[in-house]
Amino acid sequence: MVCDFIVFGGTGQQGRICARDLLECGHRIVLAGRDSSAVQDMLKNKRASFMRVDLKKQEEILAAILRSGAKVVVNCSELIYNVPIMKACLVAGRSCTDLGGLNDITIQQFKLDQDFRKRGIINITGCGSTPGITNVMAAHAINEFDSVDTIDLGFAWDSNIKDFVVPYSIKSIFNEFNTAPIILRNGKLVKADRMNCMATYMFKEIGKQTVHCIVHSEAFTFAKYFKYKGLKNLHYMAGFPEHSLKVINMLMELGFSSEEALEVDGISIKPASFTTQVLKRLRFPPGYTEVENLWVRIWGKKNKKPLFRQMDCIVRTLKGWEKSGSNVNTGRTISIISQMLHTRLITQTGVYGPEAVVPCPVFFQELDNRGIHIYDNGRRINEKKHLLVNHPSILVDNHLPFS
Amino acid sequence: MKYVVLGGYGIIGKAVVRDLFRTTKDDIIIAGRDKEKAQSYAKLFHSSRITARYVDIENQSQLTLLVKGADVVVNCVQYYFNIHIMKCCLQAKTHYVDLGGLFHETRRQLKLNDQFRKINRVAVLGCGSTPGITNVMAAYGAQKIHHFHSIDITFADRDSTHYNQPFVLPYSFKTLIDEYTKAPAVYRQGKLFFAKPGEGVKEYNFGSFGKMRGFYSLHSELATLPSSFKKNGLKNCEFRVTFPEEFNAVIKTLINLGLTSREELNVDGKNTSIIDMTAKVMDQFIPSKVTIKDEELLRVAFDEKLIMSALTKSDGKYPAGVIDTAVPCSIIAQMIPTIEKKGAFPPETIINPILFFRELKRRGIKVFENKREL
Repeated sequence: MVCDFIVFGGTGQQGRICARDLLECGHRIVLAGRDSSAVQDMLKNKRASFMRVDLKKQEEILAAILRSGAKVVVNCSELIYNVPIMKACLVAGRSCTDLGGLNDITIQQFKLDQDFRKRGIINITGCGSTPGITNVMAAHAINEFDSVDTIDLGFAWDSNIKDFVVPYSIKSIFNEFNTAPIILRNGKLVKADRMNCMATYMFKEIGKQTVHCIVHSEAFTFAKYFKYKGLKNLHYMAGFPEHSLKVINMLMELGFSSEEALEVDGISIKPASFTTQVLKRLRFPPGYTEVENLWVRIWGKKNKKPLFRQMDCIVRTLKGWEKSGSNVNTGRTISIISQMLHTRLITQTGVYGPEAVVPCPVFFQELDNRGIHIYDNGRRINEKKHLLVNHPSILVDNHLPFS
Repeated sequence: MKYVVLGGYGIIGKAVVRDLFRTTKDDIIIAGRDKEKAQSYAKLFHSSRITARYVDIENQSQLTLLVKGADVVVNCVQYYFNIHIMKCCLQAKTHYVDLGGLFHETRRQLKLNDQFRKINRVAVLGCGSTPGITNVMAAYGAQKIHHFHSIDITFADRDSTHYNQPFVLPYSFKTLIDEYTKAPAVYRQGKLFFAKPGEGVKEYNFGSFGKMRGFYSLHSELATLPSSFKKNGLKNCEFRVTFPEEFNAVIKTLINLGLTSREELNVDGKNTSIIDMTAKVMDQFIPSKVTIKDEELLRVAFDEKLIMSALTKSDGKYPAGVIDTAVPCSIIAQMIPTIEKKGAFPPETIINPILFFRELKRRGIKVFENKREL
């Protein structure tokens, strides 16, 4: 079967969400992963098939892309596979999307920009909730400004039942917490101290929460794309409810996030990999729901007067997607952007962050269709009526000068 | 006399070997699967009385061969091997002492009574702090007040050590998790039943130790005290563990996250037991490079009319909880030649409390009858 999309990491949490969204949109997909047991239900759909792929083997990645016949490669795997999958796409001549590479891997990915241009294909890196929705919200809001001084952005979330669940890839969380955050200070990207780089904000639908700086790819891409507005300072901040943060900090303090292997009965195992596998077995308690706020706050000037703008994206546990909590805004977002490549709504070539190439109004409308709502200074903007009345240029691009 | 200390290089085993070495002139063999650890610990004594031997405890013929010729086998390994080790002692015709069998194993071990009696040897089960000192204190109390309805056992620790680590593991992680997760035995109105883990919360006032909350925990005392003191009118017997609230929070979180499951898990293509891996991570929090300053109080109350307690202080090298577990084990191992009865027994039925308390006092462990030191 020739398919439309091949989803790497298709058997993982985000991969499964993305795959379901693609199937619900009528596409044919190949789920690529190591173990099909988690996707047996999905494989009952005739438009879905499974391919066993070990991402540690470059030749298996390339062979899977070619065999699938997919037009677009969707990478929902761990970030360490971003560059190998991009390199396979270069050989195969396929465009691709991924969920972001924090700082170091994002920098490596952008080094492939010229290769992607020459090959006539595109990679959009950071196509989930954040990076992803946050980037496009920033691109939407920044047009209002003559100049921008500071952007704070990130996420905050909470749940109705205060039991610990894995909010998103625990390996990513360990990575983000164990790595010094990178912030933009006076126009320069510098390392900061996570425990001292924080703020307390009121968040729509969440309430007051203290957020801490963590390393994230937005620092790199915003510094690149919003330099023309004079952007000087940027902080990416993560907010966890107390009951969740307490457990994550405890696991890290006790060494469960360590990458240093320990020997158990003659077998060498990394605590971080072990913890990831154990926590995958956790289930949401009955009646558990979440709400997440993805937020961007911009301080700058317009007509020489100070201007502040706040974008919020609110997602709650969606009916029919209860097992995914608020994670739907990552897996479904990469599905939307990947479909934009498939339908050639995005035609650029090279390596980009979503803020550079994803058309805001269509994107926001697609999110709304999925129950994910966008607010601009507190006013919901992605209801269809608003789009038609207030945004006649619905299909026009982001007006950014670099795409 | 010749002692074989199985697991003599482990947390408790080391302190048992030290006590045997200091208080006897006898030969001691430190044995276990890690010969390197056994040898390096033996070398520290610079004495021909202490030797190290490799033995795979699970290998019956190897273990039997090793203990043959010894007088007493002191079992300081995980209680899961108690029965197996006792069977080797039966074959080799040696006496046997251990640190307890967490109720169920103890019950199975008691069934070997006739076999030990037949070979004219003694097995004393549960010779640490609790079970161990608590059982002998119960025996003393029974001799004093003769008739009572209830025994309430618990313990508390007061620690003023400045640790340079985020968490302190007081003893074997696996045993600790058993205490938290196995259905606790409770003896009430003359009947034994199993409560749910974590039930039976009760606040104790430990005097200078302050107030602490305890909860039911599966312990060996419940396997033996109800029958040992039935004749005294005992109808209720409970055992509770107490831990600081923050400690409780960490352990309960690990349990709730599934990190203490006994299931196997595939990690990067390799199979491992979840609890074994977690125990490995947690083992690093057994304090090793600090001078521990703590005190442990063991408490056995009879109808709240008589409260027996034992107070142990750390000695700079070992924490109180290690000392009061290892010392009684060494004392009872040494008392074995003076025990006339043969068979498999809990300490309360065969250990002379006065002689036992005297030995504890020699080693700095004070026993109190109400508030009067004995």
